[in-house]
Amino acid sequence: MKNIKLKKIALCGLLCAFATIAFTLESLFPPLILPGARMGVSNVFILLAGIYLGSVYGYATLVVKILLGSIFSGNISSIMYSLPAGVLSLTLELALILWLNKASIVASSVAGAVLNVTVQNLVFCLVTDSMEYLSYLPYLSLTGIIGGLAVGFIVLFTVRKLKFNFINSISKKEKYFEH
Amino acid sequence: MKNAEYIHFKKAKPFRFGDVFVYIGVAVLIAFLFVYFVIIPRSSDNLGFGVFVDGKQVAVYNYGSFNPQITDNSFSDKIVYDKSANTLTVYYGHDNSHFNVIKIDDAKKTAVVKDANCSVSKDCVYTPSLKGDSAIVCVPHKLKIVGLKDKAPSLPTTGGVQ
Repeated sequence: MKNIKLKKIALCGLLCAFATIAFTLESLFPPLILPGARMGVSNVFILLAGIYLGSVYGYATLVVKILLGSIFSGNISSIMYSLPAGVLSLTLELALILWLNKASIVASSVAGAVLNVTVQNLVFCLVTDSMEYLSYLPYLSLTGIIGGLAVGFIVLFTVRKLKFNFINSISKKEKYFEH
Repeated sequence: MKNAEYIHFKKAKPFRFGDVFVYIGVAVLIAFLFVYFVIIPRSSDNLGFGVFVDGKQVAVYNYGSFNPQITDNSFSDKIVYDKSANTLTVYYGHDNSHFNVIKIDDAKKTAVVKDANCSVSKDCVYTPSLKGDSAIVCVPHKLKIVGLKDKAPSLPTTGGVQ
């Protein structure tokens, strides 16, 4: 069983790397309406980590993506806005998919994206002490829906095709390398 | 994951029954946001805008006057007004290495940040122009530009002003 845990950690590291790279590349694009309104491709990898490896690895991927992504993309202050928003939205998504098992992957991704963007904007307004940015909330939520739909469909197609027991099946080939 | 859960994900459909509640919740939230933030505040036109650095008001400009008033004397050499291009430039630092260029549109009674060297992403440049109660913020430079509803006389304000 120790080998399975090592494989899970290795896979989680790979997904963390993908999420960080995606976030850094996305942050190079000019923002659509406001700072923080991004396409959210990194949410694909976070959601995949949450579904395949369990919720603990999902949260770990989220934290690594936020910390490393903010450092690499240049503005460290975005950690403050992204962290609570990411944790809340991932909690909602995992609750809908895994724990309560009530909604499809696409709908939970939409809900998570809208919550993410809304909380990010709220925290930004509170921190910079400028309540005027709240007037952008409705438009930001609309972009959140579109991003959530895209992420949801990507994760849905991946989950259908990529078998879950590939973590276990790797260990079957191990006997060729063990001697 | 257990076998039953594998199958549940292998045949995952894009739409399940519980989705309806999620989408209704999202629609209600967005409708509420629109009503509260867009429809109810019937914003009248701004008469000018104020420039705040680190919470303190440093300049005021009334649309159509072509004459910004600098309210903080320590900034009097750091704010440059270019009349031909109608831009207001704010400099920071001892060597004026950092700047924000504010372009004023008197006909539309609004202003945008045209150029800045704050960071790679330059969020302040891409923020839409001032409308109603909205503001433009440059976080690395601690700059805030807010529309003013009344022709404010150039009185220096203490901290705590929105």
